Amino acid sequence: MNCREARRHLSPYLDSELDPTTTFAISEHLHACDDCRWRFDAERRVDQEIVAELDAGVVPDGLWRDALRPLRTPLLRRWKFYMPLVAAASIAITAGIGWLTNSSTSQPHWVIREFLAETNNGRPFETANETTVPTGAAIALNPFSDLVVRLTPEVALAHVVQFVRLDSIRDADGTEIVEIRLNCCGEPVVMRAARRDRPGRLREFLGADETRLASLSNAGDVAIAEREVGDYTVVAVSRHPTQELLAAMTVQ
Amino acid sequence: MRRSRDKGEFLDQLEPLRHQLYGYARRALNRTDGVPDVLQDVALTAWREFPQFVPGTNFRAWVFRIMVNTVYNHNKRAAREKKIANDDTPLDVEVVLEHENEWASILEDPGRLREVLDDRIVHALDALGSNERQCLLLCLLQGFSYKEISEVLDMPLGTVMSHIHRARTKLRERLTVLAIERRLVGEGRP
Repeated sequence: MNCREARRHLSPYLDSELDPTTTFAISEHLHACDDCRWRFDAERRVDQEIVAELDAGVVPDGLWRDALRPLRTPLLRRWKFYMPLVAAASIAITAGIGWLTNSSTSQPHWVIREFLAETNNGRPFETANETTVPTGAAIALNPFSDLVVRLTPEVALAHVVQFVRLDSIRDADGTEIVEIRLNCCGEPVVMRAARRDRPGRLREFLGADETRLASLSNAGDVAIAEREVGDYTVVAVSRHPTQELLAAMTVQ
Repeated sequence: MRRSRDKGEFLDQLEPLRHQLYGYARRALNRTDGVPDVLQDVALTAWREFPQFVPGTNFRAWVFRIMVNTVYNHNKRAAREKKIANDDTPLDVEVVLEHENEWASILEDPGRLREVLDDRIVHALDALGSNERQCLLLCLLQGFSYKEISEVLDMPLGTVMSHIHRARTKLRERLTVLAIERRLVGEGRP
């Protein structure tokens, strides 16, 4: 891929919306071409500056309270308006009692999603298929086959977790880093694992992850948490608390 | 089948999105004094439609679809009161090429761009066509994927990609012109 072709894909590349083959080709080009790498980095910074300026910040409490006020109006005040609905609802409730008593509550679960896009830089992910993983199951973080994430009931009850991607990066010197992307309670989380004695570019990735997540909104600080698990260093980057997710990593 | 409405469940899902909904309304509305009305309309419509929402699907995209439609209606009303340019005009490639060097200068220190232009970035965004602005806001500000945007806006994926590319280029072009006007780049800069 040459410079012109690479720059033609700039916009979808910045948004991580290219197919894996093109993404890889551009990455290879950026690795080799200082000028394009500088340019792509600068364009990403321009996006970050624009986002920072456009971000309207947090909604004032009073404004949001007003927005929800109609929903919180006591039922009695709306009684006259809803009278016909209430009458109809009471019939429906009576008829539905049998169904309700037979229904079962859903169990907490984690969901693994397969990717459409190669990467999403910490954004909510678009998915092709979903596979529910039962609580208690372990997912091996290949190529580190002895490192697993075990879906404990405690985590599943405390958080709504959607696994979206598991990938590994192998550098030229053989260093391997596992990358796990997930959404926890609606917040993007990026986790990475590397052998403790061969961390490779682990720290380098962390800085980039933190910058990307921070650029999405200013709703809170992005934190980096770290844990040693057996022979591995596991790190998590998110606005959301990640201690329990890190604790779910074990060696078997 | 329609689900029963559980207000607690609804609010649990809506509350975490309040800042994003506010942020989108602030930037997507032609008249920002309409933000309180839009937020209330969105909350009420979402609550009314909540039984149609399929659990396990993307609640955020579902709410934003309501938000986008609500903003569209408010903007249409505002445009009737005051003529507001809302067309997605074609990209003038020649003008973009003409300012290639100036843009390269800006890229040397993007942080300075914001320092100098501050609120003009917001005005530059206002100059985009409505589709371009919607796509760019959902992508850059809200972090939606192109696929999600195509669902929210009910628009083909390729069209979303074009709108975002064009919006990005136009915005950069507009910022370059503003930077030249303020002598941040080009001839006569300090």
